[in-house]
Amino acid sequence: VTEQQTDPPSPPPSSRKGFFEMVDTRLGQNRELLEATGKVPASQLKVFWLEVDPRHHPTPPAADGWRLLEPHFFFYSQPGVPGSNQIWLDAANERIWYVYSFGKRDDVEAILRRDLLSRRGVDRAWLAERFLESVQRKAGYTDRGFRFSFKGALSRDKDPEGMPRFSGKFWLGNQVSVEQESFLRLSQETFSKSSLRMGRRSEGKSSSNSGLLIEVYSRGHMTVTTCDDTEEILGLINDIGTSYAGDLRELERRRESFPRPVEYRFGMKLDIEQFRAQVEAGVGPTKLWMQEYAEEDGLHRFVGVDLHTNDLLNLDLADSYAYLVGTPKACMNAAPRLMTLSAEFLSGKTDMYYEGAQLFA
Amino acid sequence: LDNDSRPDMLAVTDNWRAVIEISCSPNKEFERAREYPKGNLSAPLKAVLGDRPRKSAGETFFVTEESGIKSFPKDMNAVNVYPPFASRLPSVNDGELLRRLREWKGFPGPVASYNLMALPESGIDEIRFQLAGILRQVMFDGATTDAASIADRLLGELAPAVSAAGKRELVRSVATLLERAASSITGLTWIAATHSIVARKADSAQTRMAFSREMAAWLNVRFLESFSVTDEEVDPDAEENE
Repeated sequence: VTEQQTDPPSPPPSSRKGFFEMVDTRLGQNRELLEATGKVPASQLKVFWLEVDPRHHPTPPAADGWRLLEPHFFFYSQPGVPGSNQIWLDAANERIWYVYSFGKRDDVEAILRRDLLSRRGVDRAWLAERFLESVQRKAGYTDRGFRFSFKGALSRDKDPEGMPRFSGKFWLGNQVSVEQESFLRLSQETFSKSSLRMGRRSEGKSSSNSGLLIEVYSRGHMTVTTCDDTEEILGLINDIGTSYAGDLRELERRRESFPRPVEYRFGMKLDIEQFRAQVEAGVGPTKLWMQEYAEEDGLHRFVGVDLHTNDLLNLDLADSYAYLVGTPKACMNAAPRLMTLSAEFLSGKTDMYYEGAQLFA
Repeated sequence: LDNDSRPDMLAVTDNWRAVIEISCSPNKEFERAREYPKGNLSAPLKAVLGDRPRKSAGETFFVTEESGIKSFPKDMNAVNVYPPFASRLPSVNDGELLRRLREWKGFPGPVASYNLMALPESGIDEIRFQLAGILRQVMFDGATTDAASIADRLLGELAPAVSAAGKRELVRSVATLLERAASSITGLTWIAATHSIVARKADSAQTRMAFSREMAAWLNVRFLESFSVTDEEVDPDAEENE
């Protein structure tokens, strides 16, 4: 990976058209660098999908480096540090915002967390494992690896050093040996995946590099390592956002007509005491602030608020299954959020159903 | 029925009649429910369903989706149709019905909950914890809310089906609890004139923690803080910089 912490000093594009032309140029430069040196460029395209509840009319903060370039198209540049961690935000879609950057992912994410994800009505798109698999399947891309990553957010150990954690990232080539294949298969069946790497071969016969290689993360973002067709990658970015928004709207439409619960099945047993500790205090990534109000024979019933939208939610939780019900007009982004996070908490498989059919899959 | 009793539901076969009460509250007026099995079909029902001798299938069947069937009178029947499915069948006369109910393992999928957390007759002790959940919503919004609105949230999607008079007892219980909560919990103010609670906005993790701690003390339950997460976000990918 080549070291490149800042963007080139040329003035950033000030329109959508200019921005997408820049994306095309930068992806081309990255591809040439990869082909010439075999090294993956550090300045890769990062995309974040943000879910937006239109009832709250969220907007980026007017100050703090954000400015409007054209209707629903914003640009961020870190004040006092021109050229670093530039971010473009396309907020034209009323349900999904698209965030683009060539900056460092952690830095960009910290800015998004501070300026956008902290605002009421803005949340991540939570791309649980089944959704990631469906992205790969629909695009017809080949399996190029995966990652599992576990931090014991429900650990009983207060000392961060004692918190159980492990992570693994598997980069797959074209062929995997028989011995490795059995290990890979077992690990894929055992752990929940927090990201999938996928791609396709280059259409140019002379090139030995991938024509497209991306990694899509369950926490709603993607890194484009290389791509020889900018329109293809921009189309994929749009397809993922559209598909997620479509599933969410469908869930909300059905919920509005009938109060059937979203059903979860956990592959590993959930520590309900620790889950209760988080949601009753209103801290942690679940964005839920709830009160347990009944318990019988292992089924714990919670009611409280989704801190994303202030909607009232009911959650019935056992150690191997759960039911989530929102009010009729509630934003249901809590459903894929809980799905993704429970898989992360447990590092085991979690499935989500509505009326017996899998959701976001 | 012909003895002027009014069960929620009636089930009949050629030979049997069963009376059903939909309930989640042990505050039910059970004496009235004892009259149900003694009654026979009223004349209009006989006209529709056929006038023939039918035996009582058993004591009143309480059908509930709430936990707590153990709190119903021991001589009455109770079936919990929500997981974990359970039944108590001390008084069933219809042998076939008894066999089917004993075999029943629950619905294959989850049933609708209708966001129901209380019934109009629910008393103070039955709604305290649910109220603590709803108050989190009020607190997060920094809103002013009256007791009737909170009673509606407790009734979930059944709220529009209950008349104002029918809700009166529940609204009174909610008001009593809100007044008590406001006297113990920082950030809540009770306005007696409008039967409303005014909440100071809980817009930070610290404020929510403080409220939760005081609420737990008020509910007299153990408040757990022994979890490892202090951040709003835990990012499993944070160690990687791509």
